[in-house]
Amino acid sequence: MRLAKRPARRALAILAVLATAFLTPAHPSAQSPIGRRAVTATGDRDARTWDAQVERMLRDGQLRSRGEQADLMLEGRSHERLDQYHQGVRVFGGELVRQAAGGQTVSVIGSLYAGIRLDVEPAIGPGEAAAVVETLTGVARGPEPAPELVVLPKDDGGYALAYRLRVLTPEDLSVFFIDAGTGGIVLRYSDLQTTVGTGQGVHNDTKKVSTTARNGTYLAIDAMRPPAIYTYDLKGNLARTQAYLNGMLTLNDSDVAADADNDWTDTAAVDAHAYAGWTYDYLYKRFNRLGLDNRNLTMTSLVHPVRRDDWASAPSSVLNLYYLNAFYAGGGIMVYGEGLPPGVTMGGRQWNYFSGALDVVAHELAHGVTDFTSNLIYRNESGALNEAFSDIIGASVEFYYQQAGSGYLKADYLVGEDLTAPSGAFRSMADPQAYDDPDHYSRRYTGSADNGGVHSNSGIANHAFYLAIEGGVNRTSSLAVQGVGAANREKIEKAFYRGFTQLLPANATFAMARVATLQAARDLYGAGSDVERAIEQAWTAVGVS
Amino acid sequence: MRATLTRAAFAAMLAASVLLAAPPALAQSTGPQAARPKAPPPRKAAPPQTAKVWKGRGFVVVSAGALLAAPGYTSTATFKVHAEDATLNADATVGIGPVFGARGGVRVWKNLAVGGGVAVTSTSQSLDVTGRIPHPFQFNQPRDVEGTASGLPRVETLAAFEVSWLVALARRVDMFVFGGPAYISVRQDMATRIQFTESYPYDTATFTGVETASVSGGAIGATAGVDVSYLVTKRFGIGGEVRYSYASATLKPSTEPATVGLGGLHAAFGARILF
Repeated sequence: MRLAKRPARRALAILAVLATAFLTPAHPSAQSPIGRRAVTATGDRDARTWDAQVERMLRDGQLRSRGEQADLMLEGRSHERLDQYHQGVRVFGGELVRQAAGGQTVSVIGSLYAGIRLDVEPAIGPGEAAAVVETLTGVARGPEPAPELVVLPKDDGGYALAYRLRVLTPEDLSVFFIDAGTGGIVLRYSDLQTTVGTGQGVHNDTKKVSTTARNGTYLAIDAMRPPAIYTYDLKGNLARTQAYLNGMLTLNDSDVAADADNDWTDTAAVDAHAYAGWTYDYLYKRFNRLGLDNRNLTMTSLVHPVRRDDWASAPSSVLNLYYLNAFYAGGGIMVYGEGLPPGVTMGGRQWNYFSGALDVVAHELAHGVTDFTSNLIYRNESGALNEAFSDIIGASVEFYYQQAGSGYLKADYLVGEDLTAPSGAFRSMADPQAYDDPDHYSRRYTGSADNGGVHSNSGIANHAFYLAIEGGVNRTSSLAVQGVGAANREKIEKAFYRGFTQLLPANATFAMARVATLQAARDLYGAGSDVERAIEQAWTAVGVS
Repeated sequence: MRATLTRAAFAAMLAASVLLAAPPALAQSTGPQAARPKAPPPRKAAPPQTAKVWKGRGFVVVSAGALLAAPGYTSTATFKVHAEDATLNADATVGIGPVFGARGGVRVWKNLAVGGGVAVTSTSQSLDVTGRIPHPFQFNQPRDVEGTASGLPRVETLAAFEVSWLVALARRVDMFVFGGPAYISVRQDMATRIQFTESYPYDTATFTGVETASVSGGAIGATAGVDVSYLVTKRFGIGGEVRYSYASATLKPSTEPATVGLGGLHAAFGARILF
């Protein structure tokens, strides 16, 4: 009987051995032959298991504590960060965070790297690594911080012994990993921490904003698009605004619009920043154009050039320029008026931030495009064409991003309708006469005011653009135009863009604009196309032949 | 995984060596063959094997084999990208992999034994991943991505209470039919985020992989199988078994739980000792 029991005991012992062997969590580095292993121990059992594992790795020198910090949100809790080490060299990115409450581990979260087989004796010193980077960037580094020798997990698997250095160049904040054996570059990446935040626009619409994290705050610096896009908050300092526009000073990081949590509440800055990006995107996607100069010129927006509350004491020139206006200042710089305080009306309307209108932002940026292309002289007919082109781009960008309709945040053929309450506009491309602008060449303004009526006579050309798309009857000539239809607006946009930016001379006339846009239509869509017909009918309807 | 397999193999070898090294004197029981007539009369039909009565005290089986088929699962995850929710859908296929197991039981009545078993399976999973990655500049304009990820480790451990019935099939061949409730635990990597690349104008995103989290859990299910052995000696045999197990566990790699089928069909070869 006794003898017979032994096999049973042995069998049970074997079962126990097997169960123990398989049920005990293996060391993470042992489970993965090579590469990153995520650790997400949050349950009681996992946390205890990993706590013991962490202690073992600390004793073995595979982990080193970076210190423990008290939890600022939950009393009694603390957080300890532990870096992974391989033979005394830090493994870049290998880190665990251990949360404790009352001495008990609550969670262990992080990444560990397994399968590291590296000789940690570098062939070159940190000074040589720094010299490599200085040669590459042309930027001399100081002695501190010294390049750090690390084990770098490579994207394609495996590891490299490398020196890590951060270098601020005029274009970027770069992190280099220099091979400690060969002196070659193992990895380089930008440490400009681009982020996407959200913000409330002038009309309380939520939109995304591309920002950059720096020193614990978020700056309105868009580094995700090919050109850098900056939005500066001048904080109502008119003197500083004017000094900057006159080249007397340069703006710096402290002037950039900023937000603490990347959930932006400065509506003027949000719209200026977002809409500048949208306009760049439109130019790129529609025309393959790389920004204002087609070379990704930096785009700079200035908001809050004056203080709203100072409006009553502002000279009329300042009121007209910095409160109730937006303008392109050259060199990729846009200035957006501050509008008027809530409740204050002018012309029967309240005036909001000028960056809050997408067509206004696109309009100003289109002046930059004109500057770098046909450079239409800003007076008389060429000036009116200059304005018309900006109106055309403004409306086109609206239709690209917004639903057609009326009211705020809708695409239409009104100019600046999102700026005022109640909603109004400066001009109408569909019906220029509604705003006392000419819709026909015979009605053009021939005086000298407004540089020869550039903001008025623009109605002739932008009405032709409208008719070529939407069709309709010109009120003055009563001539009907068969437009290509809203679904084909892209064709008219391209023809006008091509004609205005590539075919027109600086002192162009309306007649030249007709010829240029028709030629562009034939270039793009062939002779006799619907586009050519629509554009020809449109120019004829507005009296330009 | 390598270490896990090594440990499993070591344990299996340990178990096998202990059993194989057992002195004959330790097993005095008479197995099914003990009742077998030593010299059956010529031309006389043998008595029905099923009529044989197992008079031993119990058995132990250790085995090694492969997981042949396992249930897949689908998991989803939502994660923030560009200030908006991105989604991940992963259809997981569990690959074949080695199985190491052991069973044992004590005879309680006629050919009926009760006992337990454990089996450990180490496999990897491959994922067919689809997802939607938000656009960096515009809301509600996600980019579709898809791709595959493979080599995600998975270790499954089965512990079962089993009832076994011994059936003698031939002079040296018998079979256990067994089954019972089982607790199946699993530790596996599950996808939590899609890794991707993108570049201006960001109209597309390219899948490059997944980020994973190691998740564990378990559930009670059932297991059943047959084990056929050839008896080399009165108490030692070699043979094979086929086992099917199933349980359904809820795992939570992220905020969204996933129902994961555990178990599957495995076949194994091994050694049996009767005592």
